[in-house]
Parts: sequence; C-alpha cells; structure tokens
Amino acid sequence: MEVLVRYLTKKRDGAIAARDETVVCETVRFGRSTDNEVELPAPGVLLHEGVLHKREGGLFFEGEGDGRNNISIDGQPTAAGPVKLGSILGVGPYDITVLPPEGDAEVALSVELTRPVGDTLETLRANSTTRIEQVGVSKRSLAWAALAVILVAFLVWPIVEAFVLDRQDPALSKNPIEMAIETESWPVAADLAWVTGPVSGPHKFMAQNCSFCHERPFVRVQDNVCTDCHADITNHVDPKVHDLPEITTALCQSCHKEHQGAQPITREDQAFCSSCHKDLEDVASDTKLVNVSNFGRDHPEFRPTVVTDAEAKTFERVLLDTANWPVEKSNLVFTHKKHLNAEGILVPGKRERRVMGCVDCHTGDEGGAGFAPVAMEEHCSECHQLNFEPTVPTRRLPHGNVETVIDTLREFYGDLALRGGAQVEDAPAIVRRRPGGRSLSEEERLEALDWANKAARDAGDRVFAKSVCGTCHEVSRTGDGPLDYAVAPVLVVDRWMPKGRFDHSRHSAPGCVDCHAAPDSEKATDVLLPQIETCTACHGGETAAQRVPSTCVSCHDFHLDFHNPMRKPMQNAQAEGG
Amino acid sequence: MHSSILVFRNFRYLKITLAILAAAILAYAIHDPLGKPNGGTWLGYTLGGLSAALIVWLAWFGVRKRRYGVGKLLLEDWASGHVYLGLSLLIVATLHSGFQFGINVHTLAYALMVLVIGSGAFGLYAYMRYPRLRSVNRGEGALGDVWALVAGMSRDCYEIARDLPDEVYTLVEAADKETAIGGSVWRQLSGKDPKCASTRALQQVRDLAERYSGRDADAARRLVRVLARKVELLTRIRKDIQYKALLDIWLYFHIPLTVALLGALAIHIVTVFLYW
Repeated sequence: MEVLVRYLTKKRDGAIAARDETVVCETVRFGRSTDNEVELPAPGVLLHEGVLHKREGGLFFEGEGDGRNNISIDGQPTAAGPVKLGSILGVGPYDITVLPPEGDAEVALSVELTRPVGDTLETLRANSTTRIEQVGVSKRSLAWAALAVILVAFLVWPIVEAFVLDRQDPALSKNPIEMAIETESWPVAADLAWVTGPVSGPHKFMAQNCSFCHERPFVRVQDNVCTDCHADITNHVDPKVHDLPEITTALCQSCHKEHQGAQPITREDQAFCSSCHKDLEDVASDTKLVNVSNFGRDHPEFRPTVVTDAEAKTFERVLLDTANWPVEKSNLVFTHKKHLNAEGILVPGKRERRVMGCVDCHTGDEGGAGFAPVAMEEHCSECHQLNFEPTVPTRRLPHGNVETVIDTLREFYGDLALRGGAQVEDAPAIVRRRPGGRSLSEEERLEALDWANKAARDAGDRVFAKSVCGTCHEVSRTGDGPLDYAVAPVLVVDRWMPKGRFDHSRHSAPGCVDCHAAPDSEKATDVLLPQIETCTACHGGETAAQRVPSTCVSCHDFHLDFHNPMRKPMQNAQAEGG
Repeated sequence: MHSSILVFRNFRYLKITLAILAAAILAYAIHDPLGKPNGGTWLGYTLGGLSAALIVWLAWFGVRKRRYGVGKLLLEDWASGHVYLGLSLLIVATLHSGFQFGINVHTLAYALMVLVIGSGAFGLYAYMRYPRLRSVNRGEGALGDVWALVAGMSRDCYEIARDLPDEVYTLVEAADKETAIGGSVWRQLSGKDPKCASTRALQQVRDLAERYSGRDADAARRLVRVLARKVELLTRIRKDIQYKALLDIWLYFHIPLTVALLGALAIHIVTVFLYW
C-alpha cells in the first residue's frame, strides 16, 4: 500500500510547517530507528514501537516490544487496537493522526511532536542545585531563630520566673534558713542559668534560691543578708579606738567572695593582713602591736599574757626573752620537774613509784584543740590526799577554803575528844577512853576540849605548813593567833596567747616536751612556752617552699571575739528604711 | 587578596594583636585578686570590656563590608584586623573568665564565641585554599561552557544511540533526564553523586557494548567514549560545586552563631549586674 506521512513541525512564530513523505509498504512501522517507515527520533521513543497494518477493511495498530511502549489510541493507553479515520495514535511524545486518504495514497498520517521533552541543557539545569542558599534555610533566619531561642531561654523566661511569678511575700518572713531553701531546679528556677560559679560548700543548701541573697536587681548583695544568720560576727578593731572604716564598715562581700566554687569564702591570704600589719603605724599610730608581714620571716617573738598579780587579777603581755623570761605569778607552788621524774614519784599509801606523764594532768578539752583546766580533786588528790591525822588516815580536809579547813579541824578534834576512843598516843586518858558508857563530868569535858583545841592548832600548823597546803600554795600567817593562816588566791591563765589559735590535737606527732620544757621546770611560775623559733622550724610564711606554708589566719582570727559585733542587728534594714 | 589579608600592611594587625595579648597576659600574671581570678575583679572587668568591644567590632564587619568606601580604613584593614583580633579573643576572653567555666549562660556565651571563631578559622582556611584549587579544577574554560558541553554530549548520545537497542537507549535517556549536579547541602559538600545516572549509563553501556557486533558495536563504542567524557566533565563540575559549597558553608555557622553570641553576650553582661 502507499502511505502519505505528513511530518508537522511547529515553528517559532507558531505557524505549522508540513513535510510530506510517501512510502510504499506492506505495514507501517513506527519507531526511533531509521529502518522504520515512520521515524520518530525524539527521546522517549523505542527502537520499534509498533506496526500499523490493514485488517478486515480497516487499520489495526499492534504494539511491539516488552510492554514498555507508551502507546495510546484516542487517549486510551493500550497495546493494540483498531484505528479509524481521525483517530489519534499516541506514540511517546508523538501524536499520529489518521487523515483522509489523499491522491494515490491509501492511507494518510500526520506526525507531530506534541509532547517534546526539554532541551538537554535546561533539563540538566532544572535537575541541579548548585548553591547552598537554594536548599534549606537562610543565614538570616537561622540567626534570628538562634537569637530568639537564647533570649527566651536565658533572659525572658528567667526574668518572668524570678521577678513576676516567684515573688516571696515579705510578710511571710519566717526562719531565714527555711526561706533560703528552694527545691526547684533549672529550667523551672530559670535564673539558675545566670549563676557565675558554684556556691561555696556551707552555703550550698540555699544555692538554688538566687533571690534570697540577691534581693534587689542591680544592687550588690547587702550585709543584712549575711547577718540574718551570722549576727554575732565581731569586729577586727574597735571603731571607737581606730577610725578604719575600710575594715569596720566594708561590705561583707568585699572580703567574702561567693560563687568561687568549693573553696572557703573566708580570706586566707597573707597579703590581706600584711597590707596593714606590715606598717601598722600608718593606720594606727598608737597601737601596741608589732609589725609583721610574714610568719616565717618577721613575726615578732611571742608575748604571752601572764598573771602579774593573782589577787588583783592583773595580767600583762611579756616578751619571751631568754634573758628576762616572763613569770606567771599564779601563787601556786609546784614543780613540773619533780612530777615528771623519770624514775617516778612515790604514791602515798601504795609504796610504789609511778612515772607520770603530761596527760595525767593535762587532758584535752572538747574538740581536742586545747586542754581542760587542771582540777585538784581530779588530777592531784590521788597523791595529795589532804589527810591530817595520822591515826585516822582516811579522814581528809576539804579543798578550796581556809575557813572550812579550820572549822573541819576544830570539829574533828572536838568530836574526837568528846566521843573518846582516840588512838593518839600523847592524848589524855579521857580522850583515849573507850567510847560510849557514862557521861563526862564538867571537868573531864574541859580537859578533853582543851586537848582538842591544842590538837586542832597543832594539826593546823602542820597542814598549813609545807606538808599539805604549802606543798602547792603560798601560805601566810594573818596574825599571831592560833590558825591565823591565809592561802594566797590562785590564778592561772587559760591561754597564754589568747589572740592566737593553736590546735594541740593537730600537733600530736612531736611529744609535748619537744616544745614545752616541763621536765626541767623547777618553779610553778615558769612560763613553759616555746619561743617562736620552735614554730618557724616547721612553719613558714604563705609562700614558704620548704616549710609548711602558713598564713596569718592559720593562727589568728580576723573577727576578734573580744570586740563588738561588726554589724548591729537590723542596722542595714534601718538604714534602708530611713 | 585572600592570603594578603594576613600580611596586609606588613602584618600591622598581627602586631597590634600581639601587643594586646602581651599586655593582657602580663596583667593576668601579675594580678593577684581576692579569691580565684574571675570576671568581677578590676582586671576581669577590663578584659571583659575589651572582649565585648572586640566582639561588637568584629560583628560590625558584617555591616561594614556591605558599605563601600566608608571610613578611613580600607576593607582590607577590616578583614585583616577581623582575622587577628578575632583569634585573639580566644585568649582575652579566656583570661577574662579566669578559667572558670560552668553550665550557665556565661559559659554559653563563651562556647558560642569559640564556635564563631572556629567557624571563622575554617572560613579563613577555605579562602586560603579553595579558590586556587577551584581555578585549577576549572582549567581553561568557564563553567558555563562546561554545562553547555555536558548538554551537548547528552544530545550526541541520543544521536548515537538512536539505532541502538532500547536497553541502551533507555540508559542514555536516563543519563540525560536524571543526571543532576549538586542537590542537598551534603551532596554539594561531598562533591560526588553516587547515584549519578550518567555514571551508571557509562558502566552499563560499556558492559552491553561487549555483546554487540557490527554497526551496533561501533555505535556503542562511540557512545561509551562520549559518556566517559561527559562523566569526567560532571566530576569536575561537582568538584567545583564542592569548593563553592565549602567557601559558603562556614558562613551558615559563622553568622547565625555570631548573632546568637551577641544575644548571649548581652544576657551575660546584664545578668552579672542583675544579680550583682
């Protein structure tokens, strides 16, 4: 058969150009390759798409290939089917229309590329994304988003939470410690994000409650916050004596810096003290204190406070000067040397010698830093038994009061004389008689009491002399009468260096006698303190390299408990109110 | 210009930076504050003020570089100072912190600053390295020509494959219609496309060609040559896109992080005085 194939091409101006070809064939083959009767060279067409042939008076299209062909007849996808005049056969991007036969041609077909695929360059460009700004978000929106998140999370929400939602009613003021405790954590207590560093250990219990200390925004923490709990913190100097406002009225936080982590917030640096104490005359011209800047280098020799008059209770600070050693006028008579005899000391009534040590009398106080006072009953009386009558050795005198001693002697011997039964050899018979039985005559009673007075007087002379009271005390006669004795009042300082702290429990490695020359002390008035060189043998100043680095506050306090409180209670509150 | 900003004016900004750092380190070494060194001492405030001023000045570079011929300093002055003074912040701000870090907004500001400087350092590295690699990779032709070359090769492939079996023609069609350059951020940064339709077509046509004979075999061999050339060009274009992406990507961190840092810095300054 003869077939007219009219290739239609759309021009740029929209007009359609037609190019006719006539083929003579048995069947009309459609496909990409040149061996087809109708060549369809555009992309999207198979090598052989199908065949059109005559059948039973009509045309019939039969697709080829494995079903991948993109064939439709009058818009209906199909693999094969009859084709009539006017039918549109779709093959890939082409539309093939069956035209009325023209001239010699039995069959006429128009071929038009109606669904062209894009230009290869355009396709490549459309497929490609070559700049980062073409994908995802812009730098600007990222920036705004990040800024918004940060502002809300760390500024807006904390301010709302702390200053709008969480205002404590001051009228509900309770125990400050209860008020300080806040159980919420971040992000509910959102202002915790503002914390500049961990709160120190002792204050950690209130570390979640910022506004407990930071009472008002943009105002430094005031002292009343501290003195709510630390009400009795004392001054360093008496402001009435020394006009030093920089240390008497400074804010607590000017020295005590919080939010510095686990370290203590107390100042321990040597320079803080030495800034004044190295040239003390510049800040306090009338002071009796001696300049010092470094314990290891220029700390003055110790000046213990010793008793100068036990009766008048007067004390004096005296330099530990080897040429002129201070004397503690405690009115005690006592020697350490005798008690610390290496061969021991005889224990009365036991016929044995006991080797004594320091701890037999000097026992640690609670906490172990210092020592409990030595007490006669507890530490001395096992040996110093205060018995006075050899025939009644269990009977002892009371300790502590001369009148009571004299009364005791009189009562003892009066009772013994009148009751009888005394074992005293030189006593009259009436005193040595068997107790009980008949009543004494007036004459016998006088004789007995006469003996009793004499015996009491003799015993008093014995007791108040060296053998008993005088062993330890300064005893004097107050008159010429019998038993006119007085025992000088005893006064021993509790601490020779009250402004210094020394923890004996932390210095137990050396023995007591390494520092205290007690075994050679023959007088109770000896001040058995070591000189400073004993300390500086081990301890140096803050920066000492080969000795224990020690700062001023290793031994001294800044807040001295013999001064008044540094802040009057509510002082700040009143100042603020006024 | 890219490497010259470092040596600009005979290292003037390096010298200024080193002088600032020497002064800061010396002051920190001799300063003996109460407690640990921190931002609240006189030196802490000084170093903090200096750091904040530097951050604001450095951020202003983003505004300044869009205004041409404004002020006494050239843009190169700004760029050179931006690099050296920006790096110096790592030391100045660390000294300001007194090495105290925690989980809080202050350390957040510090961390953002470090990230900004880190991304900037990468940017500097990128500007020193990639433009040269990029021009080496481009070779003679401009990139626009290369794209047209690729497109032309796709057309050539259609032409050559027209009489070849459909199994080949389908691959050629896919190589045209599915080949993409770039894509996601990661695809652009990687400079590779493991699912490249052209590469796949090349491999498979090469395999198929071995089975053909006669005219088909000739055509298939020609097709393989064109496809191979196309793939090679695509590889170079993708490499180019990779360099471009690397030159751009750091700004997607540098700029948003800078804005975030300015916010965190403002919060840092306000809150240390809010809770004084």
